[in-house]
Amino acid sequence: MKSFFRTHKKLPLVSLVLSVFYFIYVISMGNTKMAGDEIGGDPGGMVLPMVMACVLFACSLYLFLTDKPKTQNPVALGKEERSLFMLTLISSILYILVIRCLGFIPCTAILLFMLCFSNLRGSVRYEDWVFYLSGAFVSLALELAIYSVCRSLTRALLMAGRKGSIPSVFGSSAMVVFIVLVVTTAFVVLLSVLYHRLCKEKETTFSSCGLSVLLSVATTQYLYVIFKQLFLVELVKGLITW
Amino acid sequence: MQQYLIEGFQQIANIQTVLWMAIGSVLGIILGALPGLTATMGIALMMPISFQLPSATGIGLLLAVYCGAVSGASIPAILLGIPGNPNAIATTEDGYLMTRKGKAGEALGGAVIASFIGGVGSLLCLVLFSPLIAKLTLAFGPAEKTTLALVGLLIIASVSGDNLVKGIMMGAFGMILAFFGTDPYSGQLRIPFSHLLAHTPLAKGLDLTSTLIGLFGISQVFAEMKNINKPQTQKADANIGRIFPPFKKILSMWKIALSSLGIGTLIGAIPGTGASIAVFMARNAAENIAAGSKGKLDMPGTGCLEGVFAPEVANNAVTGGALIPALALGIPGDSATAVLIGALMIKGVTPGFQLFTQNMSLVYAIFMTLLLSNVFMALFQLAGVHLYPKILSVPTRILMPMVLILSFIGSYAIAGQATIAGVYNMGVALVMGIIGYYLKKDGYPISPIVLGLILGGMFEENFRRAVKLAGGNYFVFFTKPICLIFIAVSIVSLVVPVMNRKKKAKAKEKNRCK
Repeated sequence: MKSFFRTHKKLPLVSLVLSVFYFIYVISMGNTKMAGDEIGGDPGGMVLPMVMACVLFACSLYLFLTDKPKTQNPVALGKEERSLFMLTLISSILYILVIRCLGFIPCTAILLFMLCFSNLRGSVRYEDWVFYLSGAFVSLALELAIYSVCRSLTRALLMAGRKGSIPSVFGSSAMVVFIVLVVTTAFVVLLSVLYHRLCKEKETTFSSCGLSVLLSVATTQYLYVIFKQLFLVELVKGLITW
Repeated sequence: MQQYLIEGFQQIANIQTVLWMAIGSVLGIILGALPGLTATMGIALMMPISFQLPSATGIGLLLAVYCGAVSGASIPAILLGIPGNPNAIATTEDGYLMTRKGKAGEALGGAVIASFIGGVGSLLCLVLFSPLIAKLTLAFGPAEKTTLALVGLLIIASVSGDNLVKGIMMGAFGMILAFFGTDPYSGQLRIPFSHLLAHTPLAKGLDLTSTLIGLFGISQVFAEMKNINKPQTQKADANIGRIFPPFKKILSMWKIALSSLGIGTLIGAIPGTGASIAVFMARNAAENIAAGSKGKLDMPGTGCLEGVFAPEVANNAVTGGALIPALALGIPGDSATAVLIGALMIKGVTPGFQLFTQNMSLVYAIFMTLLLSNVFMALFQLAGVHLYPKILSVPTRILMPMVLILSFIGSYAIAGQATIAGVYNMGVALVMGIIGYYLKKDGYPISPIVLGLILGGMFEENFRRAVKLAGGNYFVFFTKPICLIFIAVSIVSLVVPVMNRKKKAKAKEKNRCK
C-alpha cells in the first residue's frame, strides 16, 4: 500500500472518489424542471452537475494514472514546520468552534498570541508551555484592559454627546471611533516601549513571548475597533458581557 | 454622458473614498513588496471591508490595493533581487544590478514613473474600448452567453498552471462548488446532507467571499509554513541615493514605454494570460528597440533603466487591460480581476452591457478610482522610498498569523449582524484554505476554481434557458455564428498552449542532447 502511494499522487485519487460520490448524489437528487415547463425543453437541474462530475472523474483518472510524485518534494514540510501546521489547523478549528461561546476578544487574543509565539519560535516546543500559558494570560488581561477602557470611553462620549454636555461633533460615532483609535494607538505605543525596555536581547524565548503579546493585543483591538465600531459588524461577545 | 460623468465624480468625491483608497494603496504597496503576499490575496482580504462601504468607495479600495500590489512588487526586485510576486520577475535583473551600482533610488523612481505610465495608459484604453465591447454583448442571447462563459473558463484553465488537465479539472471543481445551494429555476436544494444542512446558511450555497478568502488567504498561510524556519530578514541596501532618473532619459525611452503599454494592455485584456507573460514580452521588445537605437538606449540586462522601465510599464498596463473584458463581458483577465468581479457581484453589480446602460455613473466612478489609484500608487511609492528597506525586513512568520485572523474576521464580517452565518463563513474559509493549500502543493491552479465559481451560475442559467428556448435541442450552440466563434476560440485556447508546451519540451530535450 505504501509503495502504491509512493508512485501515485493522493489528490487525484481523492477527487476520483469524490466525483463518484458526487455523481451518485446528483442521480439520487433527481431531476428538477423549470416552473411552468409543461411544453418541455428544459434540460433540468441534473444535467450540468452530472457533466461536471464526469469531467472531474475523467480528469482525476487521467492524473491518477499519469501524474507521478516527484522523488524529492521541495515543498514537503519538515518535522518542526509540520508541528506548526498542525497547531495552526487545530487552533483554527477550535477558534471557529468556540468563538460563539467565549467571544471574539478572548478567542482572537489567545489564538493570535499562540500562533505568533509558535511562528517566532519556529516550532511547537513542549518545554515552552510556561510561556504559552503566561503569554496567553497576559495577552488576554491586557486586551481586556484596553477593551474596557475603550468601551467605557465610547459609552461616555456617546452619552455625553446625546445629553449635549460636550460639543455634538465629539459625540458623533465617527469621531468616537477616531478617538478610540487614537487611544488604542497610544496604548500600543506604550506597550511597544515597554517591550523594548524589557526585551533588550532579541531572539530569546522571553522576547518572542513579549513580541507575541504585543502583536496579539494590538491586532485584536484594532480589528475590534474597525469591524465592530466602524463597520458595525456584530462580533460575538461571549463571556465578555460588558 | 456629461451627467454620468458628474454623477460618477460625485460618488467618489468624498473624504471617505479618498481616505480608504489611500489606505488601500499603501496596503497594496506593502503587500506587493512582501514576498509571499500577492495582489489577489490582498484584494480577497479587503473584500469584506469593501462590502461595508458604498459601491464606488469599496471598488476604489480594491483597485487601489490591486494597483499598489502590482507596482509594489518591484521594490524587493530592485532592492533585494527577489521579486515580490511573478509580475516583477523581469524587473529583477536590471533593477538589482542598478542597486549594486548604487542607483537603487533611480531604479525605484523609474519603476514608479513606469508603473504610472502603464496604469494611466491602460486606463485610457479601458475608457475607450470597454463601452464598445460591452455594446457588442447586446447581440448576445442565452446561447452566446453560455459559450462566452465556456470560453472564459477554458482559457483560464488552459493557460494557468503547466498542465491542461489540471486546469480543466479545477474549472469543473469550481463549477461544482457554484452548483451548491438552490436550483436557479426550481428552487430545490442542491446540497449534500440536505436534511442536516437545509436550515443552515449553507443552504444558500457557498459564500463567494469566504471561499475566495480561503483559497487565496488561508491557503497562503499554510503554504508559507515551509519558509518559517528559513532566514527571513534580508537586509536591503539602505543607500537609496537620487530618486528621480534624468528627465531626458525618461523621454528617450518613449518607444519602450509605448510598446510596453501596448503589450501590457493587450495581454491583460486576453483572459488568463496575466502580467508574468506581459513583462517578458515587453522586455524582449525593449531589447529590440534598444538594439535598433544606434546606442542611444542602453541594452536591458546590463543594469540599466530600460530594463526596469519596460516590464514596469507592462505590468501596470495589465491592470487596465484586464479590466476591459472584466467590466465589459464579466470575464476576468487574471485571478485578481476574477476576485474583483466577485466583489462587484457581491455588491449586486453584474458586469456586462447592463452595467454600461443601467449604471453608467458607477462605470465612470470605477474609471476615476482607477486613475486615483494610480496617482496614489505613484505618490506613496515615491514618498516611502526610504522606508522600503524597513518594510522588507518584516518577517513573514509575524505576518502570517495576522493574515489568518484577518481572513477569519473578513469572512465573518460579510454576514454583518448574523453571527451564525458568520461562523459558517469562517468554516467555509478554513475548509477552502486547506483545499487550496493541498491543491497549490500539488501544482493545481486556483484561478480556474474562482472562474468556475463566478461563471458557474451564469453558465447554468443561460445553458438551460438556451436549450429550453430551442425546444430541448442541445445543438443550438452550433447553429449561431457568435457561438461558433466562441467555440472556435475555446478550441484554439485549448490547442495552442498544449502545442507550445510540446514545443518547449522538445526544445529542452534537444538542448539536453546537445
